[in-house]
Amino acid sequence: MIHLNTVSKIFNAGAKNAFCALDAVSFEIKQGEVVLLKGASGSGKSTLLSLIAGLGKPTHGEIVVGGKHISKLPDHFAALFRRSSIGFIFQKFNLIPTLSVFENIIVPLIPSNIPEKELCSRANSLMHRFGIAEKRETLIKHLSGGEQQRVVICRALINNPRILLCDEPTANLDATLSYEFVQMMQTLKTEGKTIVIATHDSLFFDLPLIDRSIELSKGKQI
Amino acid sequence: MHIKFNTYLLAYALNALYRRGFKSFFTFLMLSFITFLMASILIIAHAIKYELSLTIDALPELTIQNLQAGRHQNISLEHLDTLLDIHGVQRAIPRVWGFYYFDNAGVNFSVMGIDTFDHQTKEHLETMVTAFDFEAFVATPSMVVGKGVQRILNENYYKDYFNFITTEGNFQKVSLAGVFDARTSLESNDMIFMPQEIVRNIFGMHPQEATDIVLRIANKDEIATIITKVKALYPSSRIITKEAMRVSYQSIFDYKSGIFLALFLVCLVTFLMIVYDRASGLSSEEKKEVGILKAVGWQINDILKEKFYEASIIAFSAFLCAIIAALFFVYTLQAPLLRDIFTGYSVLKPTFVLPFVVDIQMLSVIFFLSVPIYMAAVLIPSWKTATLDADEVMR
Amino acid sequence: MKTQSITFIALFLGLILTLSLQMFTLNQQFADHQSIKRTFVLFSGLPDLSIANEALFVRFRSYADTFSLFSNGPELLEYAPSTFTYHPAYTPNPSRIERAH
Ligand SMILES: Nc1ncnc2c1ncn2[C@@H]1O[C@H](COP(=O)(O)OP(=O)(O)O)[C@@H](O)[C@H]1O
Ligand SMILES: [Mg+2]
Repeated sequence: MIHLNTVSKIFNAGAKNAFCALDAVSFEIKQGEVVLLKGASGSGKSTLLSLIAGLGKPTHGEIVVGGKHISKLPDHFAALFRRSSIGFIFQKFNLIPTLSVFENIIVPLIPSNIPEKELCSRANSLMHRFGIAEKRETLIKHLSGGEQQRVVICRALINNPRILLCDEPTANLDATLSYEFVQMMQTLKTEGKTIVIATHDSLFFDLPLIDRSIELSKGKQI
Repeated sequence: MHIKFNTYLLAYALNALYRRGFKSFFTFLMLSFITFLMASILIIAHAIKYELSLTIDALPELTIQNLQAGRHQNISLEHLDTLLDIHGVQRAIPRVWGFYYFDNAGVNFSVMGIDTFDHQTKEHLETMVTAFDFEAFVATPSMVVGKGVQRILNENYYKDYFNFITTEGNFQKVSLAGVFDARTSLESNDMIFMPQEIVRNIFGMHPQEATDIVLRIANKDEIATIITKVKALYPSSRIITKEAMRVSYQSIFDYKSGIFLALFLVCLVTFLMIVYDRASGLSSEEKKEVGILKAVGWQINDILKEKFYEASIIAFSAFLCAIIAALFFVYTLQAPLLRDIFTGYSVLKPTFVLPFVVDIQMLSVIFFLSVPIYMAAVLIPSWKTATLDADEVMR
Repeated sequence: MKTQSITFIALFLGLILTLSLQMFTLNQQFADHQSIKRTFVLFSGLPDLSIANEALFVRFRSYADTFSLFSNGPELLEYAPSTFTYHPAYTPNPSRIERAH
């Protein structure tokens, strides 16, 4: 499903402050697998996830996701691919603070221009499922961290993607909420989604949910 | 390919404008105001030009002035009959007109003598003056005045007559027989019309002299020969043709619109400054939003479409509001404040009843001076941001 | 979300309608102005508009020559703010002053 071949990412390549965030990382993740991406802060986990999602381009190497060379895809198609196949749960949530919960959740659907009925039913069922239905019209900036994260999950799932990328999902959550998150991932796994969780939270380390872990240290795979 | 109009995008754009509340409103106001200013000035300038070029048709073909030592002097009427005999001259009309300075108000009235025996005079006056009694007008020394004159006289307690002071220092009482229709105000505002004998009396003019002589000529082609003949009769004369006036108007319209240019420059500079302000980049929140949209799968063209809607909503509604306001301002309110630029320091300001000559062409000029510039100012920085990697924009 | 767009479109159409209505009424209102103005000019035979009337060469600028203006002060040649629309009549033999323009 996800295939990385000697992927390197150098920020500000060629400049004085050039920084190698990823160095020749190669691995493969199969469909339906839940993979843990471990590593200390600054080891390059977020960078790796955004490369998989096509948000940036690797300096070297190639990334194949769902049969598509995402690292070589023009921007136009990368966006389309992202929309249809990838749900991204950002570390900093990246919600639009002045929009309501509902409006944030449907943002990925807007360019597809689907009928309003379908759009609403999809959003509503997700909101029910993740328990934020009663906050439908609340603005994001008025939500707590845990609620915001549910919104992010809903937004990531609204296009029914095959792959879910989670960047430090529990960083802003307390123990109970973190546990809830693990439960949610469990159900998503049973639905057959491929999940990559980047974290340094030890909570995840010995969970039965996790099929495999990949560890990064200073951009290198160990 | 059938592309369905995406109402979600429009709604999102509307929402985005609404969310940015004050900023959107301010941009809208600025844009409306500048477009409004530009539109008002253009409309007024165009209306004045139109008025001039339209009324020029009604002017006599030739005006003969007498010059002495380089100064305009009265012209002798001894050759009047000879003038009439020139082939092609329909009518030769000696005119008596000039300025009367009204001390109390510090105002110059333009006084014109009329020929009460002319068969057209009655007809003309009756069309332009409501409930005009020509017989009464002829019976006693009377005058017909423009709206502005009436106002000044009223302010000085002359309700239905005025005492002119003749050159000999005597009073010449002239009663007010009527006021010209307000629609002619742009031409008639400072004018006083009364029978020629009275004007001669007030100005102390010799009966065998006139201020100038105008010729009405039916055939344009004969004008050149007529001019040479008139020149022979009146060697010291200056002959002004209607054509010369038209040319001078035209040359002014073509390149001497200095004031407009200056005002336009001010407008444009202000406008460009706002545009520059926009073009120098999106705010960090806007940038972040673009990054998020990209990250959740919006294509560059989706983002640009959304921005295009945003810009269009502002630009088009500002344009429409500006035009509506400008029309109201110029034609209904008669351009307060702005008309002072055109009327200068005149004491005798006319009511600004401009002709209504707004057409599609004028609207499109205003449109192209405002809307596309603003749209470009919004779209270019958005496009720049949207083409960056989402990764980079979001951090 | 859709109702929002529809409201906006309605408002926008409202603006267009207002503008057309305004154009129409103004057109009606000013339709009869031109003929009476022409009658007046035909009657008076004098050129130019009475929007500035402080001197002969301003009020009836088309009748004035360059020199009458000049004798009152060369700076008056650019008789702001009315120069843009008033100018001495064109002469076939322009003076030095006129050539400068
Ligand atoms: N755009 C960038 N420019 C320069 N350095 C960057 C950029 N993005 C990330 N980095 C650097 O790359 C390293 C890895 O970052 P990141 O992937 O966010 O680490 P993690 O998510 O594992 O904490 C960090 O040292 C960070 O400073
Ligand atoms: Mg990180």
